[in-house]
Amino acid sequence: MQIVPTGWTAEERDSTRKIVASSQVSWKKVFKSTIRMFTIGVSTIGGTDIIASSGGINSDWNKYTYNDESSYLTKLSYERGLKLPIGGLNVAMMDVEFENTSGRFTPRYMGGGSELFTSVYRTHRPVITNAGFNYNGIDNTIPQFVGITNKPAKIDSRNKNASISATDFIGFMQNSYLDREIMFTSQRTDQVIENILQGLGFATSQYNLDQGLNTIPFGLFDKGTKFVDIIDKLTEAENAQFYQGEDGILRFENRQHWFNSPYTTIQKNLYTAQVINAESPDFDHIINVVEIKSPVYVKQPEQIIYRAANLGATQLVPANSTLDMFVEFSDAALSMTTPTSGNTISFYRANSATDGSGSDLSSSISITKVSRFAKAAKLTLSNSSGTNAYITEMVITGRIAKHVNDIYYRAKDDSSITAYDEHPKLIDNAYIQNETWAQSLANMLLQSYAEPDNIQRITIRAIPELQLGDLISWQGHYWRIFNIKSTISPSAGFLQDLTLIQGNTQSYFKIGISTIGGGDLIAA
Amino acid sequence: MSFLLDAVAIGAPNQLQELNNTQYAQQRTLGGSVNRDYFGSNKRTWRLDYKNKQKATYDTIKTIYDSYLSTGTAKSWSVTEANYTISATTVHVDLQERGFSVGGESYISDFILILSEA
Repeated sequence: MQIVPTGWTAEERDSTRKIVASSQVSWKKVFKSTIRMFTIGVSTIGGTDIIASSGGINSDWNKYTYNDESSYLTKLSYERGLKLPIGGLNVAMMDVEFENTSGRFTPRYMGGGSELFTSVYRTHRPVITNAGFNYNGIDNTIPQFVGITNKPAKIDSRNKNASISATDFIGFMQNSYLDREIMFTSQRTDQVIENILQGLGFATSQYNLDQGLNTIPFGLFDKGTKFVDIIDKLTEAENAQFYQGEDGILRFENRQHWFNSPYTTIQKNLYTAQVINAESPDFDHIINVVEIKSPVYVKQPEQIIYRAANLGATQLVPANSTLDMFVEFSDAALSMTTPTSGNTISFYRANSATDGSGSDLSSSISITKVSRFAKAAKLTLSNSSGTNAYITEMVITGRIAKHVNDIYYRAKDDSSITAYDEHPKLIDNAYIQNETWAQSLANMLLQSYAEPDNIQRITIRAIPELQLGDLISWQGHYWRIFNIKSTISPSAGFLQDLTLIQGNTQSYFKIGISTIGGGDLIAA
Repeated sequence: MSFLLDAVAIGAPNQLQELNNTQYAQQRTLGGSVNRDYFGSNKRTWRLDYKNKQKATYDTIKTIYDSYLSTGTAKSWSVTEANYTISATTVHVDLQERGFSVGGESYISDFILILSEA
C-alpha cells in the first residue's frame, strides 16, 4: 500500500469527497537527460531540479518534458492485475478521455491547428496519471499509472472529446522480439530477467527483482520469441509475478514475497460503508485437476556434435586467404571444443585435392575466429599456404543439453470434481525442472482453487493507495488483492473493482529469523 | 455599480437568476450510507432577462457574444451593485433568443443572456 498522510485517510472515508486527478503526456517526447531530481542538500529550493513523481524514484521516464493536460481530463480508467492462477507476466492498461472543445487534440488533417497537432497522432508517448483527493484546500494525489500510449488519440468531433489509451512499459515490451536465439545454463529467474531488461535498455533504478527461487539448468529461446513470453514462462514456472507498479518500477516478486513484512499484516480494513457491491463468483475459476508437463534436459558429457567428411569442392580455403564455414548441431550446444589440425577428437583435415589424394595441408589451416550460436557455429578458417586447400573432414566435439525425459504430474480433488464437475488446468512449462516443485505447485493450486469461495469481486469507493498483493480484511476474512480496476468519471465517481483471493499471513522459514519448532513453513 | 461583461457595462437586466452547478456522482454503499464524489468546484450560471431594450443595448451585448464565438475565449464577468456583487470571473456567453414585442422603427426587443462560469 502506498503511504498516505492521515488527512488523506479521513477524506477518503468522508461521505463527501473531492476527487482530483492529473494526467500528463509527453506529446513531443522531448527527453532531457540533464533533468535532475530534487535532492535534499544538493538542490536549491526554487531551482530547476524537479520533484520526482514518487519518493526516491529516479527513472528515465521522469526526464521527459510533459504537457499537463489535467484541466482537460474528463474520464479515466486504469487496470492492473496479477496473473491467476499460477503467476506470470502482467500488463496494466489505461484509458483517458479529454475535453476537446478547443481542438487542442485534433490533428491537422482533421482541421486541428494546435501545437500538438502532429504529436497527438503518434504512439509511444509517455503518460503519467496521478489521482487523489482535495482536502484542506489542496489537491493531494499519488501515482496511479505510468506508461506510454499504444494507439493514436481517438478524436470525436461531434462530442468534442479526445481519447487515448496506454499500456505500462511491459506492454511496450510486447513488441520486442529476440533477434537471435539465446541460451543459458544454471541461471536464476531474476538473473535471466535482469539480462533481458538491461538488453532492452532499462536502468537498474527502473526495476526491482526478488531473488528467483528457480534455478533453470538449461534454457533456450529461439529467434523471434517475444521478450514478454520469455519472462511470462520463467515467472509462471516458479509461481511468481512480474508487473509494473504505480510508480513505474518493474517488479519481479517470487512466491514468498507476500510472506514478508508488510504483507503479513492487514493493511486495510474494509467497512460496508465503503463497499458498493460484492459479487459472488461463478465456477470458471475452479481448478480441481492439475496436470503439469515439462521436458527435462540433461547436460551430456563431451561427445561429437558435428561430423562432416567427403565435402568435395564445397569447402575451399583459397591460398593465403580465408573461408567462413557454417556448421549446424542437432541439439543446442552448451560448450564446443574448437577443432585443431593436430587434435584426434575435435579436428579437421585439409588437402590440396578434393578427394584427399593430394598433399596434406591440415597444418597450414588455422581457425582464427569462432562465432557460436546455440545450434550452430561460424568458423573462420585461414590458409597460410600458397596452395588452395579443401576441408575434407571436420569433427567437432562439445557438450549438449539433451531432452531425456518429461516431468509429468497429475493431481485432483475428488470432492470438488463431484460437486462442480471436472475443471482441469494444464501447465506446460519447460522451466519447471524439478519434480518435487511440480507436485507442490499442483497441490497448492488444488488447495487454493478447488472450491469456489476463495475468490470475490467487490466494488468500493476508491482507495487509491491500495496496491496489488495488499492484504485486506473484509467481512471477517483476509483477502489479498489480485486485480484493481479504477474508474474516475463524473457519472460514477471514483470507484475501484477489486478481485480478491482469500489470503493468509503464514510466513516461511528463514534461517536466522525463524525458530525451530515455530509456526513458519518450510518453503518448497 | 454596474454589470461588466468583457470590461464593458452592459446595463442592468430586468430579471436576474443565479444558478449553482456542481458535478458529483452519488453512491449508496452496502452499509446504507449515501456518499458523494465531487469533481471540481461549484460553477455558477447567470440568466439575465432583458425586456423592451433599445437596439444599442442589444448590440453592445451582441458584439461581446460575437467576439466570444470568434475567439473561443471565455469573457470576464463581474457585478458591483450595492447589494449584489460578483467577483471577477470568466464566463462562456450564450445570447439565445431575441423577441420584438413592440413594433415601430426602434425595434425594441426582449432577449436572454446566459453566462456560464468557465
